[in-house]
Amino acid sequence: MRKCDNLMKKYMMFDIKQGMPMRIRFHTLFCKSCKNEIKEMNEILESMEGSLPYEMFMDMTGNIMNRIEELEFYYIKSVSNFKWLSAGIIIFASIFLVQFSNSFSWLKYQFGGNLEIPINIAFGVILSVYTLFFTGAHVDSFKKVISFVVKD
Amino acid sequence: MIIDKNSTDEDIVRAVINGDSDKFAIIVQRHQKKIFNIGMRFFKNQDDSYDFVQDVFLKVYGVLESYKGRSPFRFWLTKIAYNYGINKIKSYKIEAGVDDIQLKSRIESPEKKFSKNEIKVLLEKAINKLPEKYKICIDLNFNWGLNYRQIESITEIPVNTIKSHVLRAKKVLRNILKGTIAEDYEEM
Repeated sequence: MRKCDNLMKKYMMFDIKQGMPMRIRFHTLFCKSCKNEIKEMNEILESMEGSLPYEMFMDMTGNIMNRIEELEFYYIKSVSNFKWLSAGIIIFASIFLVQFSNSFSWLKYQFGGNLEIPINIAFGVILSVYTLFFTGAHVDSFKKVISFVVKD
Repeated sequence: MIIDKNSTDEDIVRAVINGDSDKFAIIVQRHQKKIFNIGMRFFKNQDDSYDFVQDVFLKVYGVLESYKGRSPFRFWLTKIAYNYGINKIKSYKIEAGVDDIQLKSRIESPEKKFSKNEIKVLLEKAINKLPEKYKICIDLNFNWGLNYRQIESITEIPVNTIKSHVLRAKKVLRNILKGTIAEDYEEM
């Protein structure tokens, strides 16, 4: 009986979330009273898991979201500088390398030399759009640089 | 990626940081009850606990970008709530004890479940007599299913202290189960 009591004390000291020690498991194989006691305790503890002692009667979601709206603090999706740089390099490399590509030579052969103009226009548009978005996304940085230059 | 109620906390947080602020409502809906319960542990009244829920979520929203995803979001949230509660309670005088009526009554049906409910209420009463920060440890272990190490990382209370307080609560539970609400109950 004393052995059982000591074992139960050990069991209670143990973090049951991390499994039960072998010694206790072994003991419960043969000791019915300990097995029942542990089972009963585990049942109570398991039924408590996921349940909360205090009832919340009011849903706070609306209030909290309204407060966030009032704060006018929003996260803005930002593109990393690495991505901006990569996109820029790809655009410039395309402009310079397209004239050496086989497909461009093939197109040139099929449709004549005039194709260079529409392709340059297309690249011009792509470059303008890229510059537009880049400037838009970095307005604050540009402002800082300009103010710094003006101060000096 | 489409974010809905089934998405993980971490995915929702990423969406909010990327500009989809409305999705923060899913996080609030999902965790408000737990935060409210932490509030009840600290402030022992509903009004302050509702304010606590609001303050914690506003605080979390404001520092969301600092969540690096190294641990599950719910731990990070709990840690913020816990620290906020601890700091607030320092400058706060608790006026009244918890009213037993506020304790949730979960009578599930047959006789056995009713007695289980009674046990829970008795245990809850005993836990209520502990200092706030220890009650939270027991909540995190019993109700949230966190292990001692995880509780330590949230509360920064040493594992041995957590262990001893959870042990006391378990002793009370054992005594209640034996039908003898003896010394340990009074001790707490």
